[in-house]
Amino acid sequence: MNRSLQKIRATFELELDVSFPFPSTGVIFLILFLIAIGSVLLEGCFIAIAIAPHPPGVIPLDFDYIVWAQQNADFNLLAGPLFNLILFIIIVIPMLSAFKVAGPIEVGLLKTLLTYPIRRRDLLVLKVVEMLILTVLPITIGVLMGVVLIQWVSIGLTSFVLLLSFWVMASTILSTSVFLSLVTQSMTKSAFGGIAIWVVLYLVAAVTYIPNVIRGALNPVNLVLSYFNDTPGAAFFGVPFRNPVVHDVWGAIIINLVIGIIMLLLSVRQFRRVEV
Amino acid sequence: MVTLTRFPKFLAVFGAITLLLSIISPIITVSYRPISYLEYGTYEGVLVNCYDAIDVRIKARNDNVISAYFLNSTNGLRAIEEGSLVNVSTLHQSLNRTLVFERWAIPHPGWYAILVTPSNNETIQSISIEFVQQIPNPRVLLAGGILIIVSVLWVFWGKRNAK
Amino acid sequence: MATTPIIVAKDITKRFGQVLALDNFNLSTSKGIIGLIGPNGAGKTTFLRILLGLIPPDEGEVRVMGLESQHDSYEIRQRIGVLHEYPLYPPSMTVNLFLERVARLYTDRENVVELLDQVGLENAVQRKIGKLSAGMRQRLGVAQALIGKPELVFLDEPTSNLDVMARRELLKMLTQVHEENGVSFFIISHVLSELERVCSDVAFIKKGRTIVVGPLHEVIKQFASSQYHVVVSNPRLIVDDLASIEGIENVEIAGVKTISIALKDGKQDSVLRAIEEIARRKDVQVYEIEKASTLEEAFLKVMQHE
Repeated sequence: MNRSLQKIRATFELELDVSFPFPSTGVIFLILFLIAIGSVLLEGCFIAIAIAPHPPGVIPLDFDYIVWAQQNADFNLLAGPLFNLILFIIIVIPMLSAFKVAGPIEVGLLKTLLTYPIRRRDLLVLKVVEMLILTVLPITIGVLMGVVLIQWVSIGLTSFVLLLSFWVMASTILSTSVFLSLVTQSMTKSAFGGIAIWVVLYLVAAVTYIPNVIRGALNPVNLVLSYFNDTPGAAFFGVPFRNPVVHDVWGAIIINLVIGIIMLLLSVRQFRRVEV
Repeated sequence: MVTLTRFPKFLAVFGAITLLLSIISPIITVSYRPISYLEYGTYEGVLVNCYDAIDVRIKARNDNVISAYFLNSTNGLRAIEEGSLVNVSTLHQSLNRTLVFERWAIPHPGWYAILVTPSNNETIQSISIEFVQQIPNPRVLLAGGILIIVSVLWVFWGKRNAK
Repeated sequence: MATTPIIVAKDITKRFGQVLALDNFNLSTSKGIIGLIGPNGAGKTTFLRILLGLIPPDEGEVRVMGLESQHDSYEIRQRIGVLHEYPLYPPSMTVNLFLERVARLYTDRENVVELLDQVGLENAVQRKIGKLSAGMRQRLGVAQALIGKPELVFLDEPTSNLDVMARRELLKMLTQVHEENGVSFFIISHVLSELERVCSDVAFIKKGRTIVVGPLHEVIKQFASSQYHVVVSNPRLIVDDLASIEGIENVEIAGVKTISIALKDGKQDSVLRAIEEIARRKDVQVYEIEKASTLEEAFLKVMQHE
């Protein structure tokens, strides 16, 4: 067992140095961290209020909004940036997969690696884990630092569910992109194909009249956001969907996660068949 | 493990960036609210989540005379509900000024309301409320400092073990 | 006592679309230094890729050191080293970091510093791979092939990008490693003179099929023992007359002053006398008649007949 762990560690070190040589690892991490923290800072944390004389007993309509906004400020300060960053990772992750999975196959670097005693399965899984951690971890740290340390807003269970949905969605985008990279074995096709697929799925989730759980399976972050804000989150030609309920949320996250796992398993199977 | 010798370098850079952020973040955090056509007798402003004393700068475009108030969020919401400030108490106020430029201390971190109204019987065309939280942000500063200290200790520990 | 074959390929067929790269390819070689020779597109690199488990054969089976190349690819790779043609190494890594990382993948490994010294890279230890010259990169390739103390090393054009002295050093090193450590080498190369110096066995491949397999000297003896080079002052004056000598199978001008002839068995003495007689008659000076039993001649002869 010890020997197996040593081998995996040796594979990991070689793969990391080959795919993400220092200091590019650190640079990517810091850039994504700054983008995430910047999106929180630009979101801001204040609510506009107005006080005007009104007849006794008549409470201004926007009072409810102000109370709601204040109560949900902590959640929305995290949710807003994550919602925007979904579009960012829909572009970044397929491109990263194209460079780091399809790229080595295309240029011949994979041939070099696979002549060493490295299992294809280990190589691919390590690569996927590296890409996931390198993209999602700095974004998570940046957003949390922005919300907790800078904006001084508390986080709770709702925030963790939101972050979980973000991680799940990112991992599904990644495993799909990796599969596409292995099938096409072309950096260009893989990058643009991956972006196109996820943009389409994002739009389908946003504008088509499909059940909430399916909508959430395509974009769980949006569904979690609308669940905790108690809003429909989308409308079809002006007609809002019904507000999501708790089993929509968990169903969506689980379906998205299962899709991600299936794509990863298919990727491992495909990688075993890649002719190098 | 070679990677581990690079990790403290990365931590140090990350710590340095965090220290910089402690200064930059209060500056670039969105903290500007323009108000248009504010009538006499009405109040507009913002609810802000403050962690420490807040620097405010409030000015009308044509140097109109204004009054500004600072209260906690409970009082701010009560004022919205009742439509006036009669039954609420303020923490700070700056009355009848053309420019309000103050540092307002807070009793504890939380939500607070900044409100502004014309002092004279007129409608003010444009007022800007700017507010900046304390520079540097003390928690971010602390986080950056901890990262740098950890990276330095890591390097010393590694060198000591190597001997 | 029969030696266990180190590589056994049985009826290997591999297609890439319409192209038949290997066509019922068969090969069985024992330990030693084995050379695989063939024209461009013959299927050499395809066979190497199958041996390494990088691609599967469409039909047939390959065994390396008794292990099946597809199913046991991981176990095989723990015991071999490989230097590909046009290898690609991470350009931003330093030489010693790359070798350290690769070394850790193996249970038993060479000392990186000593190995770099052995291949002539002692002054480039901290240099980035992207900054190495082509020759230095080739030496790095040899080093990474040997780092895991392999039993068998595959080398695809190992002396390309090396100058004359470096080629000699490399071949000397391969021979030394083979003699001292018992490491076998499987070399694909177009430089037949070099293969002739180091190989114990050779295999000729053409259009995806094995044409000839056997010990080096037997192959030369079988296909090139009757080859001679006749070095004269003016080959064109006598080449037609030589063709009419009984006992000569083939005559062709091989150089500015060289005629290449192939003799029938047992006719050597009479033919050589006839050549000198013709040269005297035509007033052509004969500088030398030398035996041209080389691997290259054997290969050319075999390829001509196929």
